Amino acid sequence: MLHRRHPRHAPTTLDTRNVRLGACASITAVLLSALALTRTERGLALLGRVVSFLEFYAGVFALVLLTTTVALGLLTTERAFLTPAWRVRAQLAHRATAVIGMAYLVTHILLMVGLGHVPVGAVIVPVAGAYVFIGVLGLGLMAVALVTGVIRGRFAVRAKPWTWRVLHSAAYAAWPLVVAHGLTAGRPPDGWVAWSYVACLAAVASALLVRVVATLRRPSAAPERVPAPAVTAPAAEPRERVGAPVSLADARRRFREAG
Amino acid sequence: MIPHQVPRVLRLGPARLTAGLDHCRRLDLPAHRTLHGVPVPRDVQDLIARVDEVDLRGRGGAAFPFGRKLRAVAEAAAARESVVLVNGAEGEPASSKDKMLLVRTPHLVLDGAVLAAEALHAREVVIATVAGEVAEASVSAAVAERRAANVSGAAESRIAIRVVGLRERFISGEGGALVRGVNGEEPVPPGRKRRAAASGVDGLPTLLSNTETFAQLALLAELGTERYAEVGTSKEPGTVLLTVSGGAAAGAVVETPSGTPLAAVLDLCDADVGEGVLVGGYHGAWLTPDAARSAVVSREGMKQAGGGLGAGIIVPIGSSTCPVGEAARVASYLAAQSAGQCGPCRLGLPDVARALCALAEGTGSIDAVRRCVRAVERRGACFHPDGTAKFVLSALDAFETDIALHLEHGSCGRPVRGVLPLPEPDPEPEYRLEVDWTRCQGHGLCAHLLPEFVDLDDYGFPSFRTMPGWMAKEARRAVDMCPALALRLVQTTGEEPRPAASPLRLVRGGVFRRPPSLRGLTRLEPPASRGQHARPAPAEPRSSRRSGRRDGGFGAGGERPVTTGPEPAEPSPAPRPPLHLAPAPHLAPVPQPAPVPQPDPGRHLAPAPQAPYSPGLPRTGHPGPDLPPAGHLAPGPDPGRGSFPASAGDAFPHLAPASDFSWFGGPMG
Repeated sequence: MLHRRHPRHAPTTLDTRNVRLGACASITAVLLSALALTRTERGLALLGRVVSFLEFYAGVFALVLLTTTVALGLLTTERAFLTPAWRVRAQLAHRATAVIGMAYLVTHILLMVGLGHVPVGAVIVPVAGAYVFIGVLGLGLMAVALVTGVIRGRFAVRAKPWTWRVLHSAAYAAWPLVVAHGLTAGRPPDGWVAWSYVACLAAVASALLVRVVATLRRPSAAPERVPAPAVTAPAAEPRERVGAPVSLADARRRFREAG
Repeated sequence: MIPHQVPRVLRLGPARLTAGLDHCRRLDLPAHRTLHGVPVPRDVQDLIARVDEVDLRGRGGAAFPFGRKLRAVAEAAAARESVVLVNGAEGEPASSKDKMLLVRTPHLVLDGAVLAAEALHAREVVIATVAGEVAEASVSAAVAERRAANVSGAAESRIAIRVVGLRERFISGEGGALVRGVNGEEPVPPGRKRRAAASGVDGLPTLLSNTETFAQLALLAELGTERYAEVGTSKEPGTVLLTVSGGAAAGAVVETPSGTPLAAVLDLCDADVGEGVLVGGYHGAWLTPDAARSAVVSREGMKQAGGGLGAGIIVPIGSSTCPVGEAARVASYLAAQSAGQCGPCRLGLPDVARALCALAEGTGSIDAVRRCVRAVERRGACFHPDGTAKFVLSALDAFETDIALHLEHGSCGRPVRGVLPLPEPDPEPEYRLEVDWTRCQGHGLCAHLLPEFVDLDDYGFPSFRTMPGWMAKEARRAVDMCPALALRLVQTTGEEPRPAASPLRLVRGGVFRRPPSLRGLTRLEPPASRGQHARPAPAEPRSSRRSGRRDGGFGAGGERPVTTGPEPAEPSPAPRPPLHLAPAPHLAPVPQPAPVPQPDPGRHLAPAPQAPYSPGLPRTGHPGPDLPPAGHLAPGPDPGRGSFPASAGDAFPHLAPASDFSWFGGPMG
């Protein structure tokens, strides 16, 4: 029997009450322990090491997670790759990585500005060089993608769906910018890092190309033609009715013939 | 204000509460004064002595001695102010005596309440009624009539009278719930009992009693103890108001002296007793037909018959309906009416109802019902679980043979006709997913997310079923996740479920604005300014604090503070143009239509036609309340249908005599 206490409609275990509670609890625990660390000398030193670690790696984490986000987003739109169940999971993972990646991105920006690597104005205008500004552009576009993703349900009711798609596609523009920023703005990356990013770019670009081409060349969704029974014999010629006159002249002629 | 359709009134014996109602629908102030005279203010000790002499009990069901209540409030209020609270929100679907009193003789109730308030030197009188119904409009109009009379020089009492509209629920008639409702809180029974006599409205000592009790008090003060006790039994003198409905062909409010045989009341209403009679309401008990035949209408007599008089509710079930099914209907209604505060009640009563429904279908067992009942008895903050348990157990006893038939054959062969009156259920919120077919590509994610409510056809395209309200969140997620953005969620029925109390609403409602310790202080402002304050002005802070904001969904009439109260006694009402004057003929020659405060003009009230008003018969005919005697045990005439007196027809020419009887249906003229 269908009852709210015994729901059958829980298709995923990723987005349940327990998972959310656990995530909130762990975030709180991390923040609280950071707060507790500031109370002692050694703790402060440890915190400084954490900050310097984040200074180096927050951007990297953001880049990796946003890359995953873009790939997952592309994966979940197409029915060719996954079954519906996995598409739902991929969508949830897409959201999760997007949120965590944006959190790392914010941390990265705060640390870069706070530690004095770039001036505050660099977040808006290109005062710290072109490579940093590329990242700023990517940030703006990513923010657009994030906001549209959050309010996606509203587009289902009102606007045309392509409005949402165009706005959310800002991510496709943002991501290469962010990658370029990551590879150029900071320390020089290792070769394998650079090459794996290039591979990611190539994979996503090709998948995107496939998607765009498939959309453009998709045959119009006309109904299938159903073979109807063929006409085997032509319809019989209508026979002339015996006595009926066909035209006025004919009638006159017959009248005359009849005398 | 003349209501269009009113509860019918029948009578056995002398007319007391229902005096004068044979010929008009509602007694307005002049008619009431002609009939019942001007009440003499009395000392509280005098009042208590009189009440004790006739042993006046509360008429709301619990039969608490009114004298003890009065004494308790008088003692508690020795140093402080007090409040008189009239319980007009009975909540029992089968009872309409309080509505009848408030609609048809509101001034009798007001007289009783004002009498008690003056004796206690109370701060104000609060009338709590159901919001948005005719009773609220009638009482508000009565208050306005009194104020208008005062303005033109009559010597009506100047105690402030406030009319509070509450949302009707079964449990809102409980005293503690009512006090909470009047205080602007959620009207549910409090977890810890506090006597209203010690701390009630605004924490002040409060004299809280039923509408009929105050009407009886007014009669007692008017008649004196000896004349009051002329009718009725020696232990319970006076008359009783009964509400007969259900299988009675002529459902009505019946006034009868106590000690009358129940059979006479049932005969008066053409009742078909059938399988039993429910006495005392939905927290009462069933009498078997034999017991009903020999029962006597009084607290003692009903107890001997195996029931209780309660609030005077008599529901014969009739022989054409399935009694077990009827009892199951009521049980499920009662289960739904639980406030959900106490676990055993919230979880146990639905189980009781389910077990009884199973019994009605022939699948359950009596033992299962008894087991469920045992789990809820005496385990709640209020009487609701106990009363429901009593109802169910007595139904098991009274309908033993029918239950045996049900268990054997699956049915007793009769349909469930809905004889026991229940209010219209609130529509459950229901949702439906709608799809934009031009966008849908048949991805099938919605079917994966909502497997019970979305079916995919052979092509992979969805079809939807309606969803209950508690699935709305999952449905919104499906809308969010649709890859084609083709879904949207539409609500088909019902209201959006609102959280019981959200922080935002609490702040907007001003809960934090005024700490409770300051409440008493702000009350002590000068009376003139208080009178200004309490005039019905929609945007004014006090009324908005009290009004039914947390039940803001039910129309305009949350609450309407109306006071007759502290008007400055100046003869010219010129500086107050927006005064709500009811057409009182001896006051103003202007044939004004009644611009009385109306609770819900759109639904219940039609604008009054511009007919010149003249109070017709009640002035000429009856000098005293006992005058239309009609002999002992003779039914009084009935203005609701049939013979409508010519003089009343002259008095209200714009009103056709109501030919059909409906309790509160139509507009009022």
